[in-house]
Amino acid sequence: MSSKLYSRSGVFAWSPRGVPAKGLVVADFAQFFDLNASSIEQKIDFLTAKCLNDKPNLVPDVSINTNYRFNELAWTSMCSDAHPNGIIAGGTEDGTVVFFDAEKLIKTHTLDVLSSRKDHHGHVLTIDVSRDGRWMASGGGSGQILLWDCANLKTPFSPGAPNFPDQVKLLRWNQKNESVFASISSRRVSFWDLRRNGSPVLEFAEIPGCDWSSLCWNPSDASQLILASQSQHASVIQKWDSRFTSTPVKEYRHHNMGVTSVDWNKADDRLMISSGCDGQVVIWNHETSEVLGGVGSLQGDWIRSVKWNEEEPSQFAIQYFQHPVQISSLTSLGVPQPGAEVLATRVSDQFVPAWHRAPLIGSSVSLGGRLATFWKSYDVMSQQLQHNVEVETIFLDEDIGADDVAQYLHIKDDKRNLGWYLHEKAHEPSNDSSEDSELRRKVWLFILAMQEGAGRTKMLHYLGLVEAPENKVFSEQAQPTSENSTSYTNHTTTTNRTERSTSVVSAADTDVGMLETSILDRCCDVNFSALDSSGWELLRNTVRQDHIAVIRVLMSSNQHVAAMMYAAQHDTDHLTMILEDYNKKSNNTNQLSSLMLALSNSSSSHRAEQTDPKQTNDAERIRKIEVVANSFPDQKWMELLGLFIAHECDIDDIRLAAKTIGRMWLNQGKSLRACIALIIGGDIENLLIANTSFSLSDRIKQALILHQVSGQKFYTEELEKLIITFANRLLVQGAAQTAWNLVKRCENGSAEMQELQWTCYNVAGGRDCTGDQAPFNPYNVQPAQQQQHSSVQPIRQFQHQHPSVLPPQTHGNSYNQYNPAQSQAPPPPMDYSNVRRTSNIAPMPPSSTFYQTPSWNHKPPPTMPPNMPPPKPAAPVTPGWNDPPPMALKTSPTPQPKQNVMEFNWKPVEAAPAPGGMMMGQQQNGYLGRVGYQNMISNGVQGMTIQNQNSSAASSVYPSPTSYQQRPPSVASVAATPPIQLSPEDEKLVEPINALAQFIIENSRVQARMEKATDLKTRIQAELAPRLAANRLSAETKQHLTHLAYFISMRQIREAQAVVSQMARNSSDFVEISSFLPALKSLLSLATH
Amino acid sequence: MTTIRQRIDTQHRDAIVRPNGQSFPLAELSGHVGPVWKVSWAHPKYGGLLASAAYDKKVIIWQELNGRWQKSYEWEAHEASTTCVAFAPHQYGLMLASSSADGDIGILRYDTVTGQWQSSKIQKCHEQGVNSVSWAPGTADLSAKKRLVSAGNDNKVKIWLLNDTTNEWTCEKVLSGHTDYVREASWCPVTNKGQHSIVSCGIDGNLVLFRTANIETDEWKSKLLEKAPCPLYHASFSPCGSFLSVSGDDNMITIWRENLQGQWIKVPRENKEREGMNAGGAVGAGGAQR
Repeated sequence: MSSKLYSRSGVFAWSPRGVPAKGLVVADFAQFFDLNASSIEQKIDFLTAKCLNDKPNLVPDVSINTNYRFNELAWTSMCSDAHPNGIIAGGTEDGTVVFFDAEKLIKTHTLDVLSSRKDHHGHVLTIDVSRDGRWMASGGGSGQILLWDCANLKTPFSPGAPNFPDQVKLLRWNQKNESVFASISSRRVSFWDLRRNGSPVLEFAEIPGCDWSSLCWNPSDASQLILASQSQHASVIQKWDSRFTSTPVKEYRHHNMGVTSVDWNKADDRLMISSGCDGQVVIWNHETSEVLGGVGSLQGDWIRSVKWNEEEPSQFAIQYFQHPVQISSLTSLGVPQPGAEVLATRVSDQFVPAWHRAPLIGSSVSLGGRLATFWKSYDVMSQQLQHNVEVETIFLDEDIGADDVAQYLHIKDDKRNLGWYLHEKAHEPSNDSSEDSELRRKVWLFILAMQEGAGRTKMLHYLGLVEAPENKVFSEQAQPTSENSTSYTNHTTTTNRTERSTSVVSAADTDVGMLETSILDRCCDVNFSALDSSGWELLRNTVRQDHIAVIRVLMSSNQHVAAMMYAAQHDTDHLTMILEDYNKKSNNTNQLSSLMLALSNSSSSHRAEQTDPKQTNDAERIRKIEVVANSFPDQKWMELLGLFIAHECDIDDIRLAAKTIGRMWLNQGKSLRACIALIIGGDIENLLIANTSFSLSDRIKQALILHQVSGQKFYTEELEKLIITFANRLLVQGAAQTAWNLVKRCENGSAEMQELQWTCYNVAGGRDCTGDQAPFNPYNVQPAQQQQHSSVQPIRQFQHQHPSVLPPQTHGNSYNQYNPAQSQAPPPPMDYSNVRRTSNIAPMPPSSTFYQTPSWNHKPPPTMPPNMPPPKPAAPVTPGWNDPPPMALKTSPTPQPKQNVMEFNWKPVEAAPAPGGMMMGQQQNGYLGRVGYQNMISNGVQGMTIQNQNSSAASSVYPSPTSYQQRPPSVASVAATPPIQLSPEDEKLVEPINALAQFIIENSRVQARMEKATDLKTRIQAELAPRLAANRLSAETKQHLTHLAYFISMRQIREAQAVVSQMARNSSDFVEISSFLPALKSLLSLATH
Repeated sequence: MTTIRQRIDTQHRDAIVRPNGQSFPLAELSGHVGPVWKVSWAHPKYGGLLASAAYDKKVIIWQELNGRWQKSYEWEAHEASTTCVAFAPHQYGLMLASSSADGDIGILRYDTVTGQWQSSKIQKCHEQGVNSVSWAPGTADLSAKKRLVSAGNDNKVKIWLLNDTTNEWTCEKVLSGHTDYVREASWCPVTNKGQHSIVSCGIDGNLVLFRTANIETDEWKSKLLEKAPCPLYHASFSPCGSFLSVSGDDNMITIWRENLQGQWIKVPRENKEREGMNAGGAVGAGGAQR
């Protein structure tokens, strides 16, 4: 946006593309003599691009004294070993064309003249280099043109004799064709072709009054060129096509005095720059003839030429007659020059130069190893650039079990599936047969047992103490199963031992009244460590309730008394008493008998002396449990657990025992078996400490299942921490949905948990994707000021914005499908915005213009009984939450500026049909100084809007879908739309379709469907209603429509679809139907979902 | 099993994302009058917030409320094309940095007390324009210093440090390693035992890795990862800092990853033939944005 002034005036040439040296070569201008100049030294300077940027004041890097003064300079890009930076050529006043080496000029600061032949008669006004850099052509007085081969400068060629001996003012090579160049004289343009020597191939543009001064070729179109006239009376710029040389294609009037120079930007072929005798430099778009901007130029001087920099397309230089060369840029020129601010370039923000493009390709890596790539591609068939985006997943570092947890979360409420899941988990085929893997298997089995509420037998089976009674490995109905499994032992028992098959977890109360004394109290005096193998066999058998085996063992160890007691115990209690007495009397200290005594379930009066287990305090019990557990040898841990599971009467006691044992083992470092005990005990906190050898996802699952089984409401602190850790890892892996599912159950969590919930919810896609209510927002950051309720509102009321709790009048707009008279017409946007201001409901934010409610969504007013009060306008105005939002920003302009706009009767140039009209239109808004062109830009914009409004108002009589997409509904167009009055019969046809669409809109949770339905509804409205009103549909079609309306109102979508397809096949007036039939089809297919 | 819905925002109607045929534009945000160069999402804890930087000199912050997008704030203080926008790490609060071709970096900060966006500028960061900004990773430690890295057309990468007491940004380090415009510098969002990494790429095709073991005391060491035969435009770290994707003018995306020794190595990856990419001449591949 800045400009800089060079230290002196002169002709210049930018370094061409392809030359290593970048910069500007400046030499003295031949046709100028400054009477006031203090020094008349002639120089050739070179200014590097770097210096241009870095220094505030432009000082040449190279400055060589010379005798030459030039009319024009040219720099060829053809580099050779001899001339690595190309050759610079200049045409002088005396007819000499001077060629010198650029390399020597820049590097050694010498002027190495390669050739200076005086072949021209008269002065050399112009010299230009062909696009490939091979040829140069110079022209000058008496119409003479000479061709120079840059590889061989010995002798020039002549392309032929001119038809007219007019002075050649400017000569330019075609940018596409290396053999064609054009030259201009004051009167005409001549085309020369190297392949056809002798004379110009074409001469044209002999327009009276025009005095051609400048010429440039379109860099991307070989046949287009732009001519400029410096005549004060016809200061025009014209675009010509070489295939059509009778008249100009287009005419531009950007200068109100003669145009001196014009140049076409090579990087963006829309961009033109031109200068005039009015001292203005104008940048404009030749396609739209829109003035894009200009440069602050030095007033009071004529501009001789302007040229874009080929290398840096945003830069250009201006040659004044008297003043120093000015270098300007559309962007920044680095360090600004003090005082040069007034020369700054100003270009409309609306115009984006073509070189300012984003890269063709780019990518970004996201969470979960997702790689998003965008790229542009060129479709040869449609000849259009396409934008593509691709999302792919690059491999993840490690799988942390996201899928596994997702699967668990999916089935966690489905008891049967979860059971299978755990069963598979426990019986995973594993090559590892070590003790650890066996223990891990058992941990899963016990989780399974807890989850299914397994009975004691089942647990014992899992523990490995009881053989599987049946093939049925697991069942939801654990209790009957275990009942069956144990019943075969029951036939001899008097005490109802089947009770032990009841669930450890849930059915403790069924044990009450049967085993009132805890096994604990009876066991604590047994010295387990002293038991030999036969003792363990015995214990196992009692656990199995294998009575015969028990008796056999007892007998084998000569404990007949005990055996007798055991046998008798199942019949009467007296035997027990006897045994007890016998023991007491004989002071029998044999362990086996004392064990038996302890295990026998006596219901004797003796029992009454036992302390009630419920009343003993927990600490005492724990101590006892520890004593028992400690007395068990290390290898017999399964028996220890089995003992409690099998013989403990109360669920709480089992749990307490398991918990205590688990903690003990945990302290001893036997974490895996501690897991089992803790699982039985339901101790989540310690389980999480114990099961660290499992993967994180497995730990979470174990804890969650246990938590679920326990029926507790809140997560423990430890579990919550673990969940937070895991959810964060899930987020990083990209499994946001899983993370949200994992954390969403947590209530009353810590602050960290609440933040995580909010984050997960939003990352997972909010309500649209998760279908869940938004969690509590712990941040309460609400950047939108107006749209939000004030921030002092209690935080928990965020749900107020939620659609489901909108105030009831919202539902006044709800659709009533069977009573069309009551369905209220959607308000036009204008009314809506008025009422909305008084509404206390937060308005919907304006979304895209794409899905706007069109302004012509009209319906006849509802028929009302005469004594009814008029309908309140406020009710229908309140938007349903699903309704398309209003364009609040665009629909409520105050009327005054609009009228001001309308007062302009100036029209944009392209609106005029003929060149004559263009001139007239332009002259009113002539280019008047620096302020002038700004006005012009703004006028241009306003003019455009007027035209748009007019055209849209005109088109809205029969609006098409495209017209409503392109513009927001404006007040003007609303007013201009005449309401289409439908007869009641027709209304009946249209109403059910609208109703169906409205129904879809209101019931669709997916935004895209909603928007599609809205779109379709408006389209059908737009196409069907006018046709009905104009009675353009045949009777047959109307018949079909009647059927269709009936089926739709009955919600028989399939039949309706059949009718539509029949319409498509059979109707005679297909032309009319085809406008709305596809939309109807889509709507119906939407409805079937 | 689990899918994250693609939430991709685009200014171009034809740039509709269809990786699996199921994506669709959720919203179309219209408000910019020029091409949009860069968008940046805020941390989800602030709700659906998106900032965009465009040629029209504006930074626009868009907000999603109940599935609807609206313009939340428009900042028009840059004097030239806004080239890049980046939200700060969420620990710093709601804050973003924008870079502009006028050579300034803009900082926007949401003041939760007043409910207003407060703006400030770092003037004259890079002569001839700033091409990108990227934030240093945030830490839970609130007293940690805030840093930015910027890349500019003066062939430099600069690190900016915020003085918390005076609330001024100062240029802490100037990193060199490029011989032409630096297109993008991105700060690795993860620190490894206090080691910070920055990767920059530029028109000269250099992909340079800058590293320091201790950002407070140690110097930055630079290492040339690659000298590509074409200009490089983008270098983007994955959120975990384990991947780096680099794209250049040759229409190639290269993926880099860090191995256990801390070396960045190129991931061998078959270069997908992108349909129609060969017609580069039609789009004027030569004069990319400069």
